[in-house]
Amino acid sequence: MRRREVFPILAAAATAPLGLDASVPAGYKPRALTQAEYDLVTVLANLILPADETSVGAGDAGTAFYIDTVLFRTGDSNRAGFKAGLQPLLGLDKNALDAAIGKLAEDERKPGSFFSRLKLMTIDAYCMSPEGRTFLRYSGDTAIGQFKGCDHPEHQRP
Amino acid sequence: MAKHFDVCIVGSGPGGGIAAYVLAKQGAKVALIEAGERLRPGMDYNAHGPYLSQLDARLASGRSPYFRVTDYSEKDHYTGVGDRPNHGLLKALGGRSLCWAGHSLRFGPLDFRGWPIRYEEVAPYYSQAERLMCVSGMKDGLSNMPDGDFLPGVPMRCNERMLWRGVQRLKAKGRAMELVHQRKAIPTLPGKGRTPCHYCGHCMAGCEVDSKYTSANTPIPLGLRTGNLTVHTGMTMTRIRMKDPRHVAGIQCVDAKGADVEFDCRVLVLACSTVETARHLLINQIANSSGQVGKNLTSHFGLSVFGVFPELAGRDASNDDGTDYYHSLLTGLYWDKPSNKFEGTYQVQSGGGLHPLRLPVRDVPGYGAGFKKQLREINATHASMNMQGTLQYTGRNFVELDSTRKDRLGLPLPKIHLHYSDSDIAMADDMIETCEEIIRSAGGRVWSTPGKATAEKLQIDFNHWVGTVPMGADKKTSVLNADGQSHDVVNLFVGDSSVFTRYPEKNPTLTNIALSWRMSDRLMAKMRKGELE
Repeated sequence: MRRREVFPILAAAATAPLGLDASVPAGYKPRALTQAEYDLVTVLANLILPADETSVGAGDAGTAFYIDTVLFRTGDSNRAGFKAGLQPLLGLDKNALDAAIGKLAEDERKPGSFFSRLKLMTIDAYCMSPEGRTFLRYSGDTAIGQFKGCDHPEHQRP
Repeated sequence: MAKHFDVCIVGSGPGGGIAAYVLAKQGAKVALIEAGERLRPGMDYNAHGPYLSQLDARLASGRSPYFRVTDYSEKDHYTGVGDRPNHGLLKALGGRSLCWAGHSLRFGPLDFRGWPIRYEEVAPYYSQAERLMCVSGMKDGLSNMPDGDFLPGVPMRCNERMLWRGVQRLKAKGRAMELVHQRKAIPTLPGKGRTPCHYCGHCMAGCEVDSKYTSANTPIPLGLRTGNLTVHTGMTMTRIRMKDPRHVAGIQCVDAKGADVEFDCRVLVLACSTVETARHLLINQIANSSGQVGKNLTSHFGLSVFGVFPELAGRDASNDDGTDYYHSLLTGLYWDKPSNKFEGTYQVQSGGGLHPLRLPVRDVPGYGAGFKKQLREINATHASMNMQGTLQYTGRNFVELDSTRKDRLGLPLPKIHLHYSDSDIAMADDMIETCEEIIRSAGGRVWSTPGKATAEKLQIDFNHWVGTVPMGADKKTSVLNADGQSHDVVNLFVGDSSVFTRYPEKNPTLTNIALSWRMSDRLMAKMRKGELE
């Protein structure tokens, strides 16, 4: 990139976040999951990172879209394993689902556990969403002219 | 029909890029040979985000959600033996200078013990390299990490100030250590030749506005401006052609379309990377009368300790992206008084801040409202301490040719042997204990720790391999002389980090560039005197 091509980018970046607006495409139809599986993932993500007084849950921030897209784009073995993990949970009512997730979470530390995979993807999706970034008080990915760093007087003393 | 040049340089990473500029500036007709293509910052990689809205397009193009420059790394280009070695070959103009963090630390006088050159001989090259690279940093006055010609440094975040506090309290009790600002090859002021940093925090993923120093954005364009440099991308060296056992005649390459191309040269400079330069010398069976090519391999290894500082929980939200993760460095450990438990030294790169995709809380078990609350609190209050220690020289870490596996051109792949020693594990234990002590001393609590170190827990830094083609005064125990010139082949020089004789805890790239600059000056002087014919 030539130098003169850099400046317009920075000029634009100085006034607006460099990232694009993040949202699930309107009318999105799942491509790797069935609609029932897609809806189930939304419920599960809302159990893992639920709504509170300041923010929506991870399910409502686009986790199912994230997982469906990753599974669709990254191959059959990923897809089959994940879908297999969902099957015992399909059709459960809320109480049964709460109990099932509690049970699955006990195996979180086991290598390759379905719950661990679901949880990590839920966190990733939440962190990529505007709702998640707001909850985490993240204000980065913008161009700034000077990095101020910490100037709290109490942090400058041993 | 062969193309004729004074100097052919193979590899356009940190060492090859600077050699191309220095030699072309001094009047040599230079061919820079690079197996990869030129990437366009901001177009071929753009590490901002990632965002959900970008996800589908990025995955559909076969890239990662992060759209990093390292997506262009060659996969599976080596065979690993032992404790999980790795090899990251980034085939692109600029090589791994595209994805380094920019950490630019001078080796100190103590670090050149055992080398055929002293710190004082390298110091002028450090200075001119720092000016060209726009290294920012603070003047710390440390004995074995000398200050340089710095632009203003980048301040620490609140989280790192907590660690600084812990270190000051331990120093008051007599402990030898320092927590200083990181030194980085990014301009913090305008008018220094490259766009000033805009503090997005994605240095290692590839700087999309070319602020961070790379071979592709600074020395290579300067070299091209002389009219003496020709860059050949998509060109893979397959053979070194010899005039006689003491002289290179040129190289044979394959271009991107698979056609053979020959280059004649008066001098050959290999700067392919520590692993690849050794591999090519072994394939061509040259410059190895010492039997040392591929031996002497070392790198940095490490693991991480996390701390949390409750007093930061209520702090104001701030844009903490900065210049990648690590704005601070724990250093000065065991410089003057070596440990009696392990050999060598280590440093600890330290960072923290509000970035959602660096969350240490991923490892925390659980879910639900409490977990979500922790997600935010730990993100805001954590500091990470990432060890970087030097592998002990044991003779068990080396590069050789794989006798069975070959690359797409039929050349043997490198086989990398890595085995951690008891000293390495003892060093890691010391680091864990020290970092936990600093966190507690600062009023924090240890959030995540490896506990007792084991070989299985250690991670090798595959960006930091050095030492397979070492310089030395004795041709029986080294491959190159103090000028980076082969003992055996008169017109063969090496310009990458494979030339390191010994290796301290400090990051290698600045020293690689300074030594390659020095090598280029020596090469030109010898060529002018007719000593390389």
